[in-house]
Amino acid sequence: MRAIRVIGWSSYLQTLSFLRVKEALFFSLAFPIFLFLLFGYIWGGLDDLEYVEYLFTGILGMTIANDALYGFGPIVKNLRTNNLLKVIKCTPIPVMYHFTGLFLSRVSLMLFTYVLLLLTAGLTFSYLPTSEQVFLHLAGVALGSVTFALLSLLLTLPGRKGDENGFLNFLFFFMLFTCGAFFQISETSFLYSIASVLPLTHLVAFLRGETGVLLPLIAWMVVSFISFALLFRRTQVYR
Amino acid sequence: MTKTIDLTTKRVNSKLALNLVGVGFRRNDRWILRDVSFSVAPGERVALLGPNGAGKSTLTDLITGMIRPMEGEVSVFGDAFAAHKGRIGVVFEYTPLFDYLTPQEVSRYHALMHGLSFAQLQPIIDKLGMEPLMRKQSYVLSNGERRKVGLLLALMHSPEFLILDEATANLDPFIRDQCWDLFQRPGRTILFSTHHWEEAERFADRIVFIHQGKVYPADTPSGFLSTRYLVADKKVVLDRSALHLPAVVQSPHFFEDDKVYVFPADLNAFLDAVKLATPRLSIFPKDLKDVFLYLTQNK
Repeated sequence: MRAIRVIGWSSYLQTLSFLRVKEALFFSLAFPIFLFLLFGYIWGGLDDLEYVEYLFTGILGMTIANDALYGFGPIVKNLRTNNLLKVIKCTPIPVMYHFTGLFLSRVSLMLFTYVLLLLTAGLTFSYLPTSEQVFLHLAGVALGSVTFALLSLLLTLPGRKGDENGFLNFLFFFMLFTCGAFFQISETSFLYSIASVLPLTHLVAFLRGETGVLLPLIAWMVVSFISFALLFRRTQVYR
Repeated sequence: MTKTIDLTTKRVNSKLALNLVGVGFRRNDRWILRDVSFSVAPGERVALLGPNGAGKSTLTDLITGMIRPMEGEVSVFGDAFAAHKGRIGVVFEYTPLFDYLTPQEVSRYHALMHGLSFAQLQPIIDKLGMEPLMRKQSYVLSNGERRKVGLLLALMHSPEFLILDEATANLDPFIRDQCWDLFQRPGRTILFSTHHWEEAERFADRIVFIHQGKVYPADTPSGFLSTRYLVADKKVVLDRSALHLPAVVQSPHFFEDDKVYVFPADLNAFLDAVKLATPRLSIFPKDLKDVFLYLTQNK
């Protein structure tokens, strides 16, 4: 019982901490809505619901990748580099409870963004996904969150605090603009061949109900986890 | 393969609050700590005394299981640190906090982890004068205020073993005394690292000198100040230019900055021997710092 309360409190405090950072709030909540409205009106509109539906899943995939990549690994790295992890480790509660709280906090925020997206889509384009699509979206949130959180842990492992920012930005924007989130990419292009192995491409395809993309996503999840577990103890923490 | 356990040693070790045997830790190719052995009995207050960079914080990390020793063994209450977390409170050298959370929110979280209510923390909050800062976000707190939060988190569950890594650094003397009022409780074991000689002398039952990753055999403050290490009870401070004088060379001495500190067995004879060569000298009583510097420079 205490474990559940600790995880609940951890999740609440992580969410509170997140909501107090204006930049994070903007990029996680306002930015996806802004992009959805912008691209929706420019290339879609009320008479092209097919594009709105296409864009909706793209924006959702982007939000999942963004929140998990930037909201998990860098936070855990920060806990290690500024010694907060030491303080948590000295309490009688396993440190995994704290991380579980952090993960749940990020998933809660993603779900909140999803609800905002649904409301925006409904109010502006009169678009509402079917119940099967909603189920798929929620499954995508769960699957994508775990995959990108593990990838983020792995990518933020080496170097000093903040060293990973450049690479994370490059990787995120490269994945974003080549995964077909906002527009379709020619399957014959060179970029497509690279994008087709990246996890965001598979996540967006999964959210759009494509079959056969679950396996690559799970592969990314497993490889990230194993690599992280193997490298964690061997990586020196730079302060 | 069978594993032999020395039950006699195990029983003896389980009576100790802390036991380190031949502990070593290396970072890259440099040994930060080497062959560190000492123990702390329950209810004892032991100071780890040494300058900055001596290895005190690394030792705290080893004791609390944050890093693993590459040589030797560390046991807390005869076991791994993790097995007794609820009985131990730790204050680290720097107090890390969640920048966008308040001390009130963080201490509630920690209280929950220890199975306490927030109301139970009030006496410590009052004692440390923390009420005005409980609702401020942590990034606006000063170093001293952050340190107080660290103390609150470490003391809230009335631990029977306190590990303090420079816990009172950055605090004014008045607050430092209040902290020690909180730390000291009948039967509580305290291991504290410090570079303040007076603090070690005042609060420790025994002192462990640490220098360049090595520890010297522990002794009581009065034991270190007795004639065991330095016979003289007075020191003569001279300019470094006096280092070549035969009376200085023949007496126990060490140097620091531009001064030579000499501990002559016969003070009057020494003064007679050097008064012509060096007219500028001062005489002071011997203190713990002298013993430490003498031991470390003449190892």
